[in-house]
Amino acid sequence: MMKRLSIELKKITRYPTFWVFIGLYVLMVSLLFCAFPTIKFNGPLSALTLKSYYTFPDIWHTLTYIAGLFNLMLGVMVVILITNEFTFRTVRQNIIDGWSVMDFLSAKVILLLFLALCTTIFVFIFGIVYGVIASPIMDSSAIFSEVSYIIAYFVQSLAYLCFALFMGTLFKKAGMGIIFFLVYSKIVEPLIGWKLPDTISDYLPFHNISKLIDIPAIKIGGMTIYHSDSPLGIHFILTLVYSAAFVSATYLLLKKRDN
Amino acid sequence: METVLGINNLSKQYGKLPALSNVSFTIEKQSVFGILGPNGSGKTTTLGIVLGVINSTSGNYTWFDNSMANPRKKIGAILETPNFYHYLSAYRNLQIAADIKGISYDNIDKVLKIVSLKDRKNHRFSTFSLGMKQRLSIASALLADPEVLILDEPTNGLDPQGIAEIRELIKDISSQGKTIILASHMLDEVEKVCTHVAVLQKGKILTTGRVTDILGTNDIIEVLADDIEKIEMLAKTHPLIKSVSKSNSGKLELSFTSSVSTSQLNEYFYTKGIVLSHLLLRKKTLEAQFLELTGNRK
Repeated sequence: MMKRLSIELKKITRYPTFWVFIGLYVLMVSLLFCAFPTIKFNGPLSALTLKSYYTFPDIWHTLTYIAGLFNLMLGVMVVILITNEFTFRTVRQNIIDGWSVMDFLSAKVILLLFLALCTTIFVFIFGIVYGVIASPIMDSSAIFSEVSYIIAYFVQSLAYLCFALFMGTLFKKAGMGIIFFLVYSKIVEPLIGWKLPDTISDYLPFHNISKLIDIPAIKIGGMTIYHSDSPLGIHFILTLVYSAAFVSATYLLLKKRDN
Repeated sequence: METVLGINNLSKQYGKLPALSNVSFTIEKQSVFGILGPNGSGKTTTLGIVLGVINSTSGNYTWFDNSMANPRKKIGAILETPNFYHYLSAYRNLQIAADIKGISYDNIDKVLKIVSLKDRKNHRFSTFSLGMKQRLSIASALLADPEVLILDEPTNGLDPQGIAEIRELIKDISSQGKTIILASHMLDEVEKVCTHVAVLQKGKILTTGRVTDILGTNDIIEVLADDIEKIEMLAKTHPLIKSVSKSNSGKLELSFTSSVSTSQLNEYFYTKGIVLSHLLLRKKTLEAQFLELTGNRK
């Protein structure tokens, strides 16, 4: 397993595009997270203060929600990494050199697990540092009480990457892969979801994945205006199921196709 | 003889188009096996199937009589185009190949030296010329010191010196007891380096066997003398004679099982008391030979 990870890392660590995407992700997440409290709301939400969203334990929810908005960027990066293997025909070379289709796919899945883990660790460290500076409360039970959001974030970003793996394998060309990745997640599924009742549309792949880390609860005064779902419910399990389905579909594609 | 590769009734359809139909042949250890055929005859498809990157429609193949768990690690191959990560250096690309094959990096410098790319090892693949890319893929194929080397059009894009070097390399590797499978559309390439050949056209095997039987010594010597019956009789008793026939113009056309020069033949007849009035070596052009092999089946 470590051998395969090291091979996959060898493929990408000297690839400038990879670092551009990682840099952008880190920058965008940090910027949006830090800029968010400066937003002034009008109308009924004007009484909303964002301070509580930035202290332990609520910071975990806020941070993972904001980081989740940029999972799409990591997905686009993975589409590029996967389609490179087809445009350079290195998938063919890897197999000629001795890998089976299963070896190739498992190496990619290990890479996706690693990338999801790295982003999760980044978000976790960022949360700890920001929280320690911003929070008046400092006891460990408060700090770690909502840390389940971090686990949910790992699963969420992994699901995005698995979908990107599937799209990249399906379309083989970076341009097509990225366009369909975005078109499906941002247009096709919202349109389908719009036609369906919430009880069904919430379980479509991307609805489900975004429901995993719901919009943070909105409380004004003592009243909860928006109540958000817990991260470890049915959406958590379904996200894992969808990820497994994307990987299996990728396997079938690779196996059936001439590489 | 040990069998390295056995191919049995391999067929491949691309949609409705048959790319290969019922191809069978066997490759013995230590042979230099040529797969000869024009473009689009199914050479790369055949090699792609036995390398596990193309799925066959029917038929099967076995490597080393199924005696190895992962035979591809014992095979070095180039298929069609050089396939490397464009943004990585030659050295790093070969590191990835070595990692997949599960071998150390010790051989990398050695194989880069063989293909004279050592000076460029830290340059990115995308900066290479076509010939250099081709040479890097040959280096990659040699990396694991493989038992079998598969070369699909290895001299594509190389200059005459590069072509000569590759041919020397093939002979050199073959002399170390390795098996080589060479796909080519160039008859003289196959004739120069191969011991065995399978001729493919439109996905079908036309003929397969030893190069000397199929391609070699197909020259014809025309002779004429006053006593035509006597030279015909003498020709038929020549120890190396293969066939004797009469041309329309009344000349005798002789072909031999191994090469016989005109002076040797002249001397042979002279010692038997015959003075030839006509002696002509007619070399078949490569194209003529190839057309002869493939032309009748169109």
